[in-house]
Amino acid sequence: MKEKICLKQFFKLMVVYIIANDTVRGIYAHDLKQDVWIPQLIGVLISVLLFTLYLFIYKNTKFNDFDNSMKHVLGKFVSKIIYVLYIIYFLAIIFFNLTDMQEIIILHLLPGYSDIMLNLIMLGAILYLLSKKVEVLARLSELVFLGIIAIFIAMIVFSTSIHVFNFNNVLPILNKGYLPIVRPAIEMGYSVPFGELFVMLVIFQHLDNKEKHTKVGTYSILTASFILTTVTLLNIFIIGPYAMSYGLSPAFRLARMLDIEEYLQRLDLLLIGYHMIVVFVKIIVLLYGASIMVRSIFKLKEKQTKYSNLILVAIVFVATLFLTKRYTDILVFRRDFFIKYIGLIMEVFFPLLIVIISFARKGKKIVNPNDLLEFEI
Amino acid sequence: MKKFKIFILILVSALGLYGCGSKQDINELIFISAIGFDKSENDGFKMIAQIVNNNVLVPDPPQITPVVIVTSEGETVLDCLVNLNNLLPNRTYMINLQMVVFSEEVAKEGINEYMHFFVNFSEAQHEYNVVITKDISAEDLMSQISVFSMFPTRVLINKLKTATDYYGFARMTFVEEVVNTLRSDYGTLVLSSITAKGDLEKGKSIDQTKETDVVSKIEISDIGVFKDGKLKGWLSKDESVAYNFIHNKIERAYMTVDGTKGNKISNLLRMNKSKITVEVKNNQPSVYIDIKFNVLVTEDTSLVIEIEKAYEEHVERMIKEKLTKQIEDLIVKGKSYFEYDIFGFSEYFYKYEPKWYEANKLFYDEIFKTMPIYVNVIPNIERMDV
Amino acid sequence: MNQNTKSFVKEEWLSEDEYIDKILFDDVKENIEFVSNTLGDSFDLVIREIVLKNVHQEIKLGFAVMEGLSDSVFVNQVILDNLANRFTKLDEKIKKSNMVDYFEKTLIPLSNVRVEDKYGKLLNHLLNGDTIIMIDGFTCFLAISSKGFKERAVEEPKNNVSVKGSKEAFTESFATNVSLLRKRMKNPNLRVKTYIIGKKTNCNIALVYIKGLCDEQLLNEVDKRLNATEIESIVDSSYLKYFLKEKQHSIFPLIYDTERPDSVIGGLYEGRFAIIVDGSPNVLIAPVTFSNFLTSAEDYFSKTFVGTALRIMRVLAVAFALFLPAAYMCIVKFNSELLPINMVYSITGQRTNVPLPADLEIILTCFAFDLLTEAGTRMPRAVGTALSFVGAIVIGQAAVEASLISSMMLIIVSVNGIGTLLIPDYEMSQTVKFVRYFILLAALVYGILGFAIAVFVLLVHLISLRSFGKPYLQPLAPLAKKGLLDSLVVAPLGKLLKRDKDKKGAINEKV
Repeated sequence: MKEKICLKQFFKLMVVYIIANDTVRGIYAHDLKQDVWIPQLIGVLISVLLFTLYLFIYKNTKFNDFDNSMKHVLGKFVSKIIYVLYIIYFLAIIFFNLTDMQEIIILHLLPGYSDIMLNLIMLGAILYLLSKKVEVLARLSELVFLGIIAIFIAMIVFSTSIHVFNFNNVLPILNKGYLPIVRPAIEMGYSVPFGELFVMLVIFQHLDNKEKHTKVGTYSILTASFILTTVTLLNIFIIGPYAMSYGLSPAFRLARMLDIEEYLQRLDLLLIGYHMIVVFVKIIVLLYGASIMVRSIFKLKEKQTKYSNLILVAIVFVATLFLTKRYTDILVFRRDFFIKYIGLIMEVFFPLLIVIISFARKGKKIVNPNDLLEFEI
Repeated sequence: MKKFKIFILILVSALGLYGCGSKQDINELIFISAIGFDKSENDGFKMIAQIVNNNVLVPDPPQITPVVIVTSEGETVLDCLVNLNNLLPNRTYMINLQMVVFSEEVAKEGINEYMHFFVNFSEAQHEYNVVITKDISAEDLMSQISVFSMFPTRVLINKLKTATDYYGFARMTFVEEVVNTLRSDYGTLVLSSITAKGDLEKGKSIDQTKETDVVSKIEISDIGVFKDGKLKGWLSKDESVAYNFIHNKIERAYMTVDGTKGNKISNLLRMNKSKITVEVKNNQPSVYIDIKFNVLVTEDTSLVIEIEKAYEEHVERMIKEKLTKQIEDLIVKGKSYFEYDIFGFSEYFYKYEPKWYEANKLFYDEIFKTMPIYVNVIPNIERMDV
Repeated sequence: MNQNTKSFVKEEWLSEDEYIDKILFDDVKENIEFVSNTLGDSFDLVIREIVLKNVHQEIKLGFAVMEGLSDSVFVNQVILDNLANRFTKLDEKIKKSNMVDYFEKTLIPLSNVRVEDKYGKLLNHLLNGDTIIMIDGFTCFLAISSKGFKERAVEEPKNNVSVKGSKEAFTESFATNVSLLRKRMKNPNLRVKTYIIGKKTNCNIALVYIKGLCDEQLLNEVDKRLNATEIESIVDSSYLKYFLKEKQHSIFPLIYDTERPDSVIGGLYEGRFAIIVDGSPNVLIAPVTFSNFLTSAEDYFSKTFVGTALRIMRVLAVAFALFLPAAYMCIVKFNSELLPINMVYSITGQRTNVPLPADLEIILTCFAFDLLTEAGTRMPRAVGTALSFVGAIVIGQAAVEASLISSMMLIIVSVNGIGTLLIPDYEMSQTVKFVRYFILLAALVYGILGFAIAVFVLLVHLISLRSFGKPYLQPLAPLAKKGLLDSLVVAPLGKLLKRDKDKKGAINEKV
């Protein structure tokens, strides 16, 4: 590997990735109301479990890079098919995140603007970052992480200083029994918000000393979940379970209520701008994963990856042109079909299958190092 | 290849600049500072908007009216807003919305239908209060020009805040609380009311600000109690103070009690900590209210505040008796006059005894009439002769 | 050597390759003719034959010196006079075999004498002000240092001002600059390695570093780049900047230049290297990070808290300079909810009578201020003080009263301008001025979204820059704990300058 990311950068990148899922947590708030924090705690455990399982793919192939590990486990032909499926899956996630962001921006920041131009400018910025190396992404995630921590602390400080906390808003706990939270808990584990982590394996290959750092995933998921769950709880305490279920994102809802000395207000507008950068990081990680897979399928050289990146981004752009007629349709599709079935297959079923096969092929010879692609983003 | 890229870049940027001129400048917007709803003759909503007159904002303002009242009608709140925009030259901008006023008649018919717009509304800054009017219409209230400041809504909000923080008989209710109470099947909504006395017609003109005698007196008045979004009755000032004590909302309150020698002693009550506990034993519910607060003895008409134990105990006992009586009178009024749970104890039942509440939700009002409520007032004299 | 038959057209012009390695002729006359031809028979070249006579022998010498470049008193009295006197007092004949040696070591025992034999070197020495003595019958010459050009005295630094601290600045003279550095660091490990770059200007360049503190790999890289510099003429040290940096497209300066010797010494101590260019008072320091452009020497001379406060103020100034017009545009044009309502009312009131839309207004005002500042810098002294920055504000005030712009705009642009002026480095402030237009344009079209995206693109660009292999946003972007001691805050000097005993290399490197 030419590129190296150090441990702390990977940790911060993963935290930023998970926090980018903040926008859509409100999906469950309507049904669960004040119990919406319980599935989050369970989802964290499921997510940690899944990620440690993912890492077995590396452990069993002696910590090779991603492409070679997959080829070793699955063989060249099957891995190509799997790659194609994952590329479509990643592009779909990017599409959903982009339309979420676009909705929020059009509603709050720039009412009445044409969404085509928004998409164009966002994808342009993403393409610019995509043309740089992975180290740039890692360093950017360090800065973004600092910002997230600062904003989080500021939120807590401001909300405790002004508003009245009704701690008993969280009661009654589990009024309707355990059944309603089972499905959301599992979904939160492998999908929004603590899931969609399969692509982090692609970034993991750049970590130096992979053998010693297998716990980094656990720590980062725990940190990110701490932040997200605290924001949810603050929402429940301050805003109340009924008013909370309007609109989608808890963090923005909370930021709208805050003000600095009753003077500077509507901080959620600034938060939307900052969140957009966080979502950019997530989108770039996904695009990088897709680009590595495309490169492996078509055996591209370095210079040609620029064109393949352009094509991937163009596909997403064309999809946003034609498929975003109605936002509620997209949301319903995502909640009822995509997360339930496709997420389950791609994040749980296939990776588990790969892990099991990797155990079976553990002792066998690893792919010839001459096949190593030189990786630079 | 590079030239092609640069060309595409320039093309894209040029396309992007099309939006340059289409946004409206800040001085072409119309600021709405308060919205009120009156009863309309037709079947629908009648909205009154209080609009800030932009000409008053220049550094050297002429003597013109600072606000303008515009009314419109429609079927939903958004409909009214759109119809409002037809009357105005520019786009309305609700950044400074500070207050939503419902007139008494509208409140009696129910305010549920109006609330959804305000919950999810994205232009306004920070929270706006919901109030109702008493004895006057919303239009009259909003067209009163105040001598204290250029913007009448600010004056109203400040009066409300003062009444809440310093005297304890009013309440500032924000939209989230209203929605929480209306949409859930527990809790009771109460809203403060504002009324105005005096010559209301004269109060609408700017000449009022040129005289020393305040022509129209706007004051914060009783608290209105709601059920299912409909106004059911009023609580007087003393009753409001008691109500706020129960719900731990008092910042400061004043109470006068009798002394031993026929004098009157005035006290400042503050640092209120109330706790409501509900209990269900053998399917019999009961409510325990513990009210603790600190007392600062402020004024004694006999000119002497004695720093002695007997004096202290006397004052404490008098306060305890008076407040307990007020609260018990209020409870009696709730049971016999209102005939439903005006205190919102159902919220506590829902949270702490959910099973019992689920089973008995429908009969709750009946049960309330005979439910024992135990009140325990614990004053604590903090300082004397303040 | 017939001066009358010279004509401009018929001159043979020898290119550098032809004379650079050419060995001298035996005959002095031919040498003189050759040198004279090559220099185009210039009026300040003094070149002639000298014959030394004494009892035992007679030696013919060729003598060349450039009049304006050499110290004529030294040349006449010390070199020639002494040479002649010594020669006449010799009491034995000089053997032909060690004639050159005798001349160099005994007859002309001055401090700086070299023996060379190539024309390239001869011309180089001659044009540097040295005296050339050619001995008839030999193909080598002696070059005696007699430099005496007129140079500016060591004065106060004009661009990097500091209240305390030394008031010496570099001058255009190469030797003086090197001596200013040596004066401050009397350590034999301070190495000065010279190059001659520029085929036509033959400029002297020195690479200064502290051996043992500077990374060997870095030095090799610099060496490679300096030798690969294909430039014909160097007028100023900033020409070198283009050749030294990596091939990245960026408007941000990647090499720092300064006029103060103490900054250079500080930089050397941190493991950087410096490049001194003859003829330029600016000394280059590399590799640098972004925070170097925001520091001045003052921060280290005061107490820690004062230094930290100054740094924070400068970072705020950069933030104002970059973001303030764009932020104002976002608020006025798109999302006015961010401001408190009284301010919104006040801005509305001020803008009521202004005829221009907000975008044109701000672009015009910013541009007008930039024009005025630039004009104030370039104007000759006599007229310049009239059109200072304050004058610009007065003009702006007049524009406000004519209802051409709103007064809030004037304040915004003034604060912006002051922020730009607070940046200690001139080049960085020019860059910031340019970048702020870019962010302003993004905010004009897309509001807060555009602002966020512009900041994002800027950040990505800065993060991906490298200055000699060192990441540009070093203490922040790859988080280096030791580097943080000197970035936003200035740690107490004891901590800052402490070096781990066994760690070689620069202090604030990434751990």
